[in-house]
Amino acid sequence: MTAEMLTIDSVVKRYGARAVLNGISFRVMPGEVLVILGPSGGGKSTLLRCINGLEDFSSGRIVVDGLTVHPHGADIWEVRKRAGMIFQHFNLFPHLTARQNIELAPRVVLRLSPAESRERAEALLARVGLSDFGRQYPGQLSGGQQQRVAIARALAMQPKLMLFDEPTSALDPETVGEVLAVMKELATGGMTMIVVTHELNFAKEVGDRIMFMDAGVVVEEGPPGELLSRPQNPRTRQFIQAVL
Amino acid sequence: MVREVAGDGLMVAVAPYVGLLVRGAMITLEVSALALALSLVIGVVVGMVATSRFRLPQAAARVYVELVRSVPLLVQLFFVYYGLPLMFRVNFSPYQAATAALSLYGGAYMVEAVRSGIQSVGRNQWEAARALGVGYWRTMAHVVAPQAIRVTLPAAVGIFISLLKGSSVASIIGFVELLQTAVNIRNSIFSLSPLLVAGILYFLMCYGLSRFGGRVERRFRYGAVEAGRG
Repeated sequence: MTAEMLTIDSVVKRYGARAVLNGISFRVMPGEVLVILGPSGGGKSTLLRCINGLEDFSSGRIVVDGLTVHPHGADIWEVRKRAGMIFQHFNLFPHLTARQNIELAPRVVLRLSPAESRERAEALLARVGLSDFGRQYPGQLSGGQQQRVAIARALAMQPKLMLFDEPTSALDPETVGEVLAVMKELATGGMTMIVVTHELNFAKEVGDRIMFMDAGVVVEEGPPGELLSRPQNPRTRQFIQAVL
Repeated sequence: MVREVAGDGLMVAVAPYVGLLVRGAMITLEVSALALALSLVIGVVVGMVATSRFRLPQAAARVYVELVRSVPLLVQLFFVYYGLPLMFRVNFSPYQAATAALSLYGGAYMVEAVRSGIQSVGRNQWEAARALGVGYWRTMAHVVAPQAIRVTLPAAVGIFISLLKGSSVASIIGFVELLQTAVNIRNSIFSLSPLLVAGILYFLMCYGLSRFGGRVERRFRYGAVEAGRG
């Protein structure tokens, strides 16, 4: 039996009296693609941000690849190396070219030589189909291209787990496909992924499991085919109908 | 006095002193540059404190900035030159007092320049770096500072120019820089022309600086920024 890549155990996060996460528990196995669906404000992004310590949580336990997450503990930097994150708005570094964006963390955190980090960046640019765009600045790239650079940037740290926080929500419809294609390729390659998205087709096609979250709790979860075609919970049913 | 405004031979009278005035200008430039360097140190250190999450140092930085910005430079100079020796067993030469007062003064403005530079860089940049495992100092050095500098640099050039002009105030405590040199010459040749030349030298230095600032500023531009900010 393989060990879990991620364990979330009764995690609660409160802002004052309001619980954004109200006792969430689940596990993700290595190589698994978990898609999280649910209405905005349901705690999906917050959950992802708790996993790599961008946000604190009130109680419960999060374990990433054997490391327990304490947002202010020393291990959190190791957790962040193992868990890459993709943001809705890409958050590329605008003063660096695409290639420099990818090279930065390997150079300053992993202490790779310029030649090594460059080689790694070139390979990743090729992998996300942007070999010819390494010298472009983020401002010169389309949204879809920027998000692919962001994916390459996260992959440069060779994470074991990738967290996608609505990766296609800020994109023009015509560039959504290219980003999803890269993500699909990643999933096929065996990457463990947690994807917060509204893309039901992606969820169905690539997801191993779908979790529906609302009001800080897991309402329902299951294999994509089942959950999407025969949702048990009325809230899930309502949401899926609305999105379709 | 009448002779001073009589135009005839004005510039002829000052001609032998131009070299002296240029030397005065060099001293002005030197003190201002030294004060700028110290202001930068103050600005970067205190500016980072001001943007940190530590409340007490943050408040102290605030007090410093507000105090210095609300008191005339001349008063600060008097405080350093006359006040400090009374309070402590220290003695400053006019040069040291001028440098110290100007640094303190420029530093406060630099804190604001650094602070607004750092704050011009969005939270998402910090988060992106953190998510990649890049710590505070490296994020500051590789992500935030290079972006902040676009905001800070033009302000720093402006501060340098104010220091250059402000250094003339130090003539009052007997610091022989450009203005005091001009005043001394005027007193011996009874002509306003040294002051005119001093004015021209101030102008040339400041104008040159602002032109140089514009060039440096353009060098720090990079591809359309806003799209990547999100």
